[in-house]
Amino acid sequence: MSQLPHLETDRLILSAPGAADQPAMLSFLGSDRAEFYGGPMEPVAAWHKFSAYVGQWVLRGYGFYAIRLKDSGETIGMAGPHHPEGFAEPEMSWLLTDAAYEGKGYAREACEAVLRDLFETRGWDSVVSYIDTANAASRALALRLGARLDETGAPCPLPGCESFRHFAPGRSPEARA
Amino acid sequence: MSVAIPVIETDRLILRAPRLEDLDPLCGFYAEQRSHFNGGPLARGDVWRLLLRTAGHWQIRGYGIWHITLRETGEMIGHAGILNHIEWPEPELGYGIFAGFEGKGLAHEAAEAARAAAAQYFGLTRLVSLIDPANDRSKALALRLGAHFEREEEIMGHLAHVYRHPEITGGVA
Repeated sequence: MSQLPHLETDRLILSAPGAADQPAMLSFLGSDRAEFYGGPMEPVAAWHKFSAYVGQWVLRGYGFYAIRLKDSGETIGMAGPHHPEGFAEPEMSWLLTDAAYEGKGYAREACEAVLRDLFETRGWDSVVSYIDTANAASRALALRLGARLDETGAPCPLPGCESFRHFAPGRSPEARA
Repeated sequence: MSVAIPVIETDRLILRAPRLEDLDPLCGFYAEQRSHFNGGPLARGDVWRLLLRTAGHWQIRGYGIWHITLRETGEMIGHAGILNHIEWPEPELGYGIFAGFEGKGLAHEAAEAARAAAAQYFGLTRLVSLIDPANDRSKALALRLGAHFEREEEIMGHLAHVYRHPEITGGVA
């Protein structure tokens, strides 16, 4: 089986999730922070959801990266293209498992690394993010990452969400015009 | 680094890692009422998540469920291997064969090979099978495999009969 990828930034290591990330992710999915991820949920439901995230990597060849702090190795979140059956395209999503990790630029640092991987290494032209209109933090980060509201793709499959699209350098509609 | 999933070969079968292309045959199995001992019937989106979880289980636990294919045609006909969800009391030898492939000894062949591989590759030498008390077919197979009834166990509000398999020594697969 193939080697799963591994990305590094100044402060973070991103790799396919596994057993080491399970406690942090089950804790996240059991908390109110998981409201945009179908939570909060019981540990058994969280285990099944987490193992599905892990399995998407193997079956699709891409998925949520686990975000770990370089210094301590602790898992602080996930970021990457999630692609449920029935979605017309993969969706770039991100989360931090605990409020203690917010406000430090970790999510942005992780997302920038993932987007570079998708655009530069994998050659994707663009990727969409479906963001709940109530999720002001994610919306703000999407805009900081350079994404813009987008109606060119398939209709947003999630109720209450808007589509934001991230473009690879030189691949936005203006750049291609 | 992803977990390397061994390929197990028997006279008539190849047990291999779950793949994306297995979604359609799995949907066929889970569309039927007879899948209720495996948590079915399930809609396509639920089968998709089940397939993801099957793949994810390997990565998290280091062992898991193989998909059973016919050596001659490559067709997927069922699953066999080791399940250890967090709500499970201990790792389980699980198995299931799609309708139309029963009565040929294929489930027995696959389960026996999976049990041997569990011992050889993962050091899991004394597995249980968790069986719905109403699942006579599965119970009969457990007995044919040399397992015996050990105890009852309640898992997520469902009663299961725990069948203990004999210890597998020598690690031959």
